[in-house]
Amino acid sequence: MEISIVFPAKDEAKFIKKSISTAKKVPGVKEIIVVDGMSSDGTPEIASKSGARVIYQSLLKYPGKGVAMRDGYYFSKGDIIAFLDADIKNLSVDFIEKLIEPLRKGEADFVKGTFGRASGRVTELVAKPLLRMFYPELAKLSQPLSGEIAGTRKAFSVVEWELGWGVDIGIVIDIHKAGLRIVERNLGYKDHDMKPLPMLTEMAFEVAETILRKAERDGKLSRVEEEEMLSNMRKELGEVESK
Amino acid sequence: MRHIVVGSTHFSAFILKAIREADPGGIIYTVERSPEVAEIMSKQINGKAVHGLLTDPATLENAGIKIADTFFALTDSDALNANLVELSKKIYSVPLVVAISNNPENAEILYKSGANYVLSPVENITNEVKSLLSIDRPSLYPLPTNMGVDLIIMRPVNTLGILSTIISMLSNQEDVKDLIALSPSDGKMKNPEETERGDFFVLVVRKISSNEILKKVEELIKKSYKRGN
Repeated sequence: MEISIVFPAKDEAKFIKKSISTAKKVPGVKEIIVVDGMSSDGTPEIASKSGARVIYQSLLKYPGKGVAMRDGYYFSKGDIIAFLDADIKNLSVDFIEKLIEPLRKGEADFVKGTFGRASGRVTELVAKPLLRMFYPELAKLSQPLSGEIAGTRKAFSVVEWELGWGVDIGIVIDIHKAGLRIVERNLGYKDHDMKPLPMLTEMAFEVAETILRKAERDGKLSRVEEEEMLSNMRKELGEVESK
Repeated sequence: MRHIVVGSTHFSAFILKAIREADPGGIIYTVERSPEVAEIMSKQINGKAVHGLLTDPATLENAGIKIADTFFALTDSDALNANLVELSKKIYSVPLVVAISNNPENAEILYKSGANYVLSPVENITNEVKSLLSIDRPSLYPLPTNMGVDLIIMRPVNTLGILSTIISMLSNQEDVKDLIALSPSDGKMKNPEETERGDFFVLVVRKISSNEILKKVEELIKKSYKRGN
């Protein structure tokens, strides 16, 4: 099975060379793709020189995480596709191997990486309560928003891509809806920079919006209920941010 | 002619209309993942709708890709467009394959994937902005590779001085194919003797030497300042 590794990246000149060289050492890796979000520090040039295939994010919207992941998937050729943050300071071959092992063994169609820490605020306060309401099977995942993921080409082909922060939870819901197998794997410790609070507020809203939109699509609530819940949530998150 | 259009962005709606106007009797297939969207698009231009996974050959075969004359990859993902271009050109040998590059940086990838022509709306807009602000700053408009020429556009302050030097360049250099003076108010062509400050000068230059010519024009403008003419 050939593996494609995708690094969505914006201004990651400091880390990208090392991330690519680590990914290259993983057995079965056919290609490394860097999806650049208009970096100004030379990330795409470094990535290209380091042997990655570089494509530029099609839409430069903010947040563009989903755009980068979607473009990376469409640009990839492998049977297994793994998405990794480009700024993981302790990225290792073992880290990547753990993530893709269940796919290689045919034990899963999609793998969520988890880390040896408590799950984040957006996960506990927004994602899990909404998942419990609409997709209770997925509420059992310990870190449903983690960005380190891998899946088969078939699994990603069923995804209706969200373009912003909702992409991670959107992928899980769509793959679950298609009846494919999802597992979590503990990847150990992830050393990277944390996001500031205002960004988390925005992320929380987009995650909620994605879960509710997909629930409405899947006939679990009406459009009116969806809009009402989103409006309440926008109010509450706005209050949290103003404090 | 038989056309296939994949993707349902803002641009595809206008491009569909353009295809219909250019080929009123042609058969146009609109291909989208969602059946509703495919239907809405096809209705606009009296075409036929096909839905399904966009990169699945079966979907494209349902739209008659084996006998299509043109194929338009117009999604908002350049990576998906590259995939579609590769399929339509390398597997199905569609004679004319056109792709949109949402981010102009990806145009080369689309050409390499097999596109005959890459539409780059963002590049057109940014070039227009540059030319509006190009008083004494010549800017290069790269045209598609297969056209073999690029444009250099400028709005020199000292028109007669710069014009005489450019005309002398024109007579000496094979690389400069033409020089056109245009009025910015109505876009009409003007005689070189009638040009005034603010007019556009458009140089049609050979693609392989366009960067070199651009540098020469920049130097000429600097020299004309030094001479004070």
